[in-house]
Amino acid sequence: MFKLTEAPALSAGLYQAPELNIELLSNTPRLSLAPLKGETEKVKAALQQLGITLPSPTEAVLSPCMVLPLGQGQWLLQGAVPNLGALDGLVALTDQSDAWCGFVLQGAKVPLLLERLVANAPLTYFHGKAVRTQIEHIGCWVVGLTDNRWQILGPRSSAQSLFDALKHAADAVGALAD
Amino acid sequence: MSRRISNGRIGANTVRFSFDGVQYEGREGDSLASALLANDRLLIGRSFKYHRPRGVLCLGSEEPNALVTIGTGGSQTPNTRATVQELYDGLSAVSQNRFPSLKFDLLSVNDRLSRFLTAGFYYKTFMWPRSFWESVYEPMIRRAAGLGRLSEVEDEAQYDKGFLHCDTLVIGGGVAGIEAALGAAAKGDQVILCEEFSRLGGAALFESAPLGPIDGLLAQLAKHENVRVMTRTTVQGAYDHGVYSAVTLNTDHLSQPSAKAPRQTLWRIYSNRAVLATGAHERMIAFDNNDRPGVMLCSAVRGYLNYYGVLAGDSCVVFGCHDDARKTVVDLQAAGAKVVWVDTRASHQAVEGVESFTSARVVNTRGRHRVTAVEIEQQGRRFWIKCEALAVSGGWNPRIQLTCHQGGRPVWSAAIGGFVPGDKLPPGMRVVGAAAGELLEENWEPAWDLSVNGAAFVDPQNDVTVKDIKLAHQEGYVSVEHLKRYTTLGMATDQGKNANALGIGVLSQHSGELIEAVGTTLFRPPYTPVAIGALAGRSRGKEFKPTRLTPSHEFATRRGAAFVTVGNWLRASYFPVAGETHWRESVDREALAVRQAVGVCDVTTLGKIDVQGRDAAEFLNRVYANGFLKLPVGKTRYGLMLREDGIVFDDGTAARLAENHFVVTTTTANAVSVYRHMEFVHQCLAPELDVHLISTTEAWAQFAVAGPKSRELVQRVVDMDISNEAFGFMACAETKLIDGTPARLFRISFSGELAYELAVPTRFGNSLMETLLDVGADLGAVPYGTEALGVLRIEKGHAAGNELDGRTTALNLGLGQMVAQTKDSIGRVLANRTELAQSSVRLVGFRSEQQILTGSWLIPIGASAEQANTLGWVSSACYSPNLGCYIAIGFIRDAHEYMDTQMRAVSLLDAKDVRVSVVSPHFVDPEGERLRV
Amino acid sequence: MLINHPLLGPRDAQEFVYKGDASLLRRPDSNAEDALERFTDYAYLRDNPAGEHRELWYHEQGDRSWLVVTRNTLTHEVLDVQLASEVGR
Repeated sequence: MFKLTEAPALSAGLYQAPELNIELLSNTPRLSLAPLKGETEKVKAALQQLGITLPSPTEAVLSPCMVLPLGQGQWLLQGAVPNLGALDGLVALTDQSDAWCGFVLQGAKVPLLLERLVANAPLTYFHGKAVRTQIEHIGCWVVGLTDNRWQILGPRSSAQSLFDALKHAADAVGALAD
Repeated sequence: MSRRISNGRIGANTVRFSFDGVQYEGREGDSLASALLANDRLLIGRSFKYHRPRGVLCLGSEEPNALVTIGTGGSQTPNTRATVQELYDGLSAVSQNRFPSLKFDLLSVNDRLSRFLTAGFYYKTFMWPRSFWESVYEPMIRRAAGLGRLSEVEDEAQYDKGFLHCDTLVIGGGVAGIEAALGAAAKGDQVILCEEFSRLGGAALFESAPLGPIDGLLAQLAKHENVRVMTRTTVQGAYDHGVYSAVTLNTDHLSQPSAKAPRQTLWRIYSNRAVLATGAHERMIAFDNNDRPGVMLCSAVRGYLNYYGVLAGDSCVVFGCHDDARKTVVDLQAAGAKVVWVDTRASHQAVEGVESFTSARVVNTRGRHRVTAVEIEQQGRRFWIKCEALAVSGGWNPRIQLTCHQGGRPVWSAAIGGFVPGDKLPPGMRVVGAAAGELLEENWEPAWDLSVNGAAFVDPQNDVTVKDIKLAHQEGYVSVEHLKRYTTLGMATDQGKNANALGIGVLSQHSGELIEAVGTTLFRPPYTPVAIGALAGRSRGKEFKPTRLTPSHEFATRRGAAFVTVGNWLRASYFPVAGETHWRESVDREALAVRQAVGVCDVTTLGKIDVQGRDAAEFLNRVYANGFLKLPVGKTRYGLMLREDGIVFDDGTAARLAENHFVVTTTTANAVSVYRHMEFVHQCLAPELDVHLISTTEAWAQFAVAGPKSRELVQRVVDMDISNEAFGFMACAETKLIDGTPARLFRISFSGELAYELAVPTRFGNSLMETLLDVGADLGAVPYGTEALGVLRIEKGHAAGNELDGRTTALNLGLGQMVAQTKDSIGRVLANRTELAQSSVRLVGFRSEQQILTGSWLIPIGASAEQANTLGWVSSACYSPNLGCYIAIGFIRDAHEYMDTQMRAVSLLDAKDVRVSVVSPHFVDPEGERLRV
Repeated sequence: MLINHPLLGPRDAQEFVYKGDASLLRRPDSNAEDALERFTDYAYLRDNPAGEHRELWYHEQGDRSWLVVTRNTLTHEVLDVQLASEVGR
C-alpha cells in the first residue's frame, strides 16, 4: 500500500545573518473565506463565536489564527483555523493550504530589507497591518507580526524565486550596513 | 610639479592613483579632477568631433570635458566625469577618444577640417554613392563615433533597488536645503534629504568663508530622528504624484568594496512635498579658443583652491561679466597668485593690488595642450597676457532641470542673467535658494558671443561652436528646438547644463530676438547619466523574472527531464531514458506509450479558478459562449470563452462539484488574463450576482493520466469506483486516495485517449507522480512532458493556444454550434456579425511525408508563393509516431472544397515548400470512441 | 503614478492593469433591435479626451478590485477613484 509523503515548499529555507533571519514556514492549514451575498453579518457573528474577527482591508488579525484580507469580501485564514461547519451554506470556502508558502523575517535589519523589496509605505506593513502587494513581480502579502517580526506569504510555486529575492536583498543590506 | 598649496578642507592623507598609466599621488577627499589639477596634469581628454585637447572646466557633475574611463574588464566605466569620481587608493583611469595617445591624437586632424564638419554635415555628406553607406560610411562613422568604449564584458557589479516614503523630500544639501529640511522636520514631517556630493554643505564648502554656520546647521539637523540624510545620492527624475528617482553611489569611492555590496542603489522615493534646493552653477562665455585646458569657470577655480587646496596657476586671468568674479579674484590673490581681472562691464568694485581691465573682453587664448596666454581687447586695442589659468564666468545657471521633467518651462530672468523655474512646477514641488535665482543678482550684463573668427565653443562636449549656431539660423532652423537638434547643442551626456543658456544667448544676439522670445528647450530625466545596471537592479539573469516550479519538479529533475520555460513556469518537456540521444526519440516513445498503455503528465500549470455562489452557474453562463445552467452536479463540460468582439479568447473546462461550486480550468498562457476577465465581468458588468472567485492553480497539483490503461492505474490509487458506469466520460468528483489523501478526479481528455485528471493538494504532488509511475509500472506507465502532450493533442485535432491566436472565431474552429443563441454571453452579438459569420475559414488537418513547419502558408499546387495566392496558414505541426508521418493542423478558406486534395505548405523564411494532403484535423479516433470507453 | 484606492489608500500604478475607457461599464442590451450597432460602438469606438478621462484599472497585485479612476490625461492628476462594483451605470 502506498502512502503519499508531504514535501515542503522549499528544501532549504533558512537564511541567517546578524539582525536578519529568514525562515520558511512549515506546511500549515489555510482557507479562503468569502461570505455569500447578503450573509456577511451572519458570518461575522458566527466567526465571533469562534473568537475570530475579520480585519479591515489594511489590517491583519493575528490570533487565534492569522486572518488576512484577500480581496473585497474575501479573507485568508492561516494556522489554527477552527472548524467552520457552522458557516455551511453561508460562505464560499477553498483550501488554500498549499497555494502559499510563508517566510518569517526577524531582526532589527528587516525594515532595511523590506524597503528594498516592497514599494508600499512601511506603515502599511507595521505591526498588525498587512499589505497584499508584489515583491520582484511575485504577488505576496507582507504582514507585521510584532516588533522586528514580519511574515511574507507568496505563491508556493515561486517559493524559490521569492527566497532568492529575499536573500539577495538581505546580502546587500548586510554588506552595506558594515 | 605640485599645485597643492594647502590641505584645503580635505586633510593630508595620501593616496596613489594612475592616469593613462602614469602614477600620481593625491589626497583622501580629492576628486580625480582635483588630484590631476594638483599634479598640474591639465590635458585630460580629446573632444568628440574635433579631437581638441581638453581639461577640467567645472567643479561638479555638470562637467562636459574631463570624461575618463575608470577600471577595466567587467567594471570598466566609460564617460565618468573626473569631477565626480572620488579618489581612492589604487584608482586607475584612462583618457578617452584619442589614438594613439592623448598627446598625439591622429584624429585631431578633424580640427583642421572643422570648416567641413560643421552642424548638419551628417545630413549633407555621406549621401553618394548610395551603396557606400552600408559598406563604407556607416562602419567608419561607428568607429569614430562615441566618446568612451565599452568593455563588451558583462558588468560584474551588483546593483540594488529600494523604495522610500517621506512627507518632504529635500533635493540638495546646501544651506537652503538644510534649512528646508530643518523646517520640515520641526513640523514633524518624515524628511529625506538627498545630496549629490559626499557631504552636506553645498556651495558654501567651496567658498573661503569659514564653515562655522554650516556646522551649526548640521548639528541641529543631526538632532532630528525623522530626517534621513542620503549623501552621494543624486535625484534623477521628477515623476507624477510626488514620485522621484534617485541613485546612491555606494562603492564607487572605495578601493576595496565588499563583493556583496551593491555598487549603486536606485531608489523610488514617494513624497508628499518636495523642495528643490539644488543651487546654481556658472557658465562660459563664447570667445575664440575658449576650450583650452586651463580655462575653467570662476567658481571652479576658487572651489579647487578653497576646498581641495589646489591653485590653478601662479598667474591667473579672471574674466567675467558680473560681481561673482570678484570673489575669485580675492581668493586667488590671497593664495599668492598674480591676478589680472578682465570685466566686460564699464565699472566694478576694484580689488587693491589687482590689475583690472573694464569695458574689456578676452578674445582668444594660446597654448598647445594648456593655456599659456590670453588675448584681451579693450576699446579697440588688443594685447596678449601670459597666464597659467583663465577663470571665466558668463553668469549663473540655476539647476532647474527637475522643474522641467513634467513639462514645466523655465523663464528668463534678466536680473540674474539666467533661466529660473517657471510657473508650472511638478505638483508638490517648491524651489528655494540659488535654484530659484535667489541671491544671484550681481549686476550681470550679457556676454554671449565675443568670437572674432576662430573656434568659439558653446557646447564643448558635442563640439558645437558659435559658427554652428549662426549656420543653423541662416539655414532656417530658427526655433530653439530646431537649433538643438540640428546642431546637437545640449544633446551630450551633460544635457546642455553649460551649453544651453549660452547657446540661447548667442542665438538671441544674432537673430535680434529677445531671449524671452527665443525660449529654452526642456530637460528630461535622468539629471546625470545612470548606469543601466542600476536600472536593472537585482533583475538580472535567473532573477530577471520569477520562476514557477511545478509540484513534480523534484521528480522530473531526478528523472533527468529536459525543461522548457512556459511563461514563468518551468515544465518538463520530455523524459529521456538511457540510450536516447535525440529529443524525437523520447517524444515519439512517450506519445506512443500514452496511446498504447498509459502516461502521466503534470498539468498543474493550467489555470484553475474556483467559482462559488448561488449565481455561480448563471455567472458561467455569461462568460462562456455555451450553456452551463443545466450542467449536472458531478459533470464537467468543455467551455468556450469569447472576447466581446466575438473572437475566441480561451477554452477550458468547468466542473460542477456541487450545486453552487464549479472549478474552471483555463490554458496555461491565459490563466491570469481569464481570471482578470472574470473579475471584470463580476465586478463591472454583473455585481448583482452572488459569485466568488479565487485562483486555485497553486493549491492543487494536477496530473493527466491518459491511455487505454489509465482507468486501471487510477483505480489502484483512488478510493472510489471509477468504472465507466460509475464515473462516465466528463464526470468529476471530490474524493480521496486510498491512503486518505484528499483528491479531485476529473474524467477529461486532451489526448483523445481514455483519460483522467487527478488532483491532490500541492504538497503531495511530487509523491503522487512517483507513486502513479511506481504503482503503474507493470502497466507500462511512463511520465510524459509538454512535447508529447502537444503531439497527442495535435493528433486528436484539439485546438490550443496556437489556434486561439486572436483572429479565429468559434466558427473557424469548427465549434460554431457551441455559441448559444438563446442567452446573453460575452461576445455572442459580435460573433454573429456578417464578416465573421460568413467566413469560410475552417480548422483542417494536413499530412505529409516531409516535415511541415508551423507558420507555413498554404499555396495551391502550381501557383506562385505570393500573398495573393495564400489559402490559409499552419498553426500547429509535429511528427506523429502514432500515424508514422508528419501532421499539422491549421486554417484554410473554403475548407470543404479542399478536403482530401493536395496543396503546398510554404515557408519562405525557412526555404521550405512541402506537398501536403488536406484531411480532417482529427487524425486519431475521430468518432471519439476511445474517450468514452 | 499613484492611484488612491478607496479602501487601501495610495498605491503605485504598477500594481494595476489598465483596461480602458469606463464606458465599458455600460454594456448594451444584447436583445435590443440594434444590438449589433450598439455592440460595435461599445467594442470599437472611443473618445480620446485631452483632459478628464474616466477609466478602468484592475488592482492585480493588490486586492483584485476593479476601480473607476477619473484622471486628467494631460496632467495625470487623479481626481476621483471608486470601486467599479459600486458605480451606478
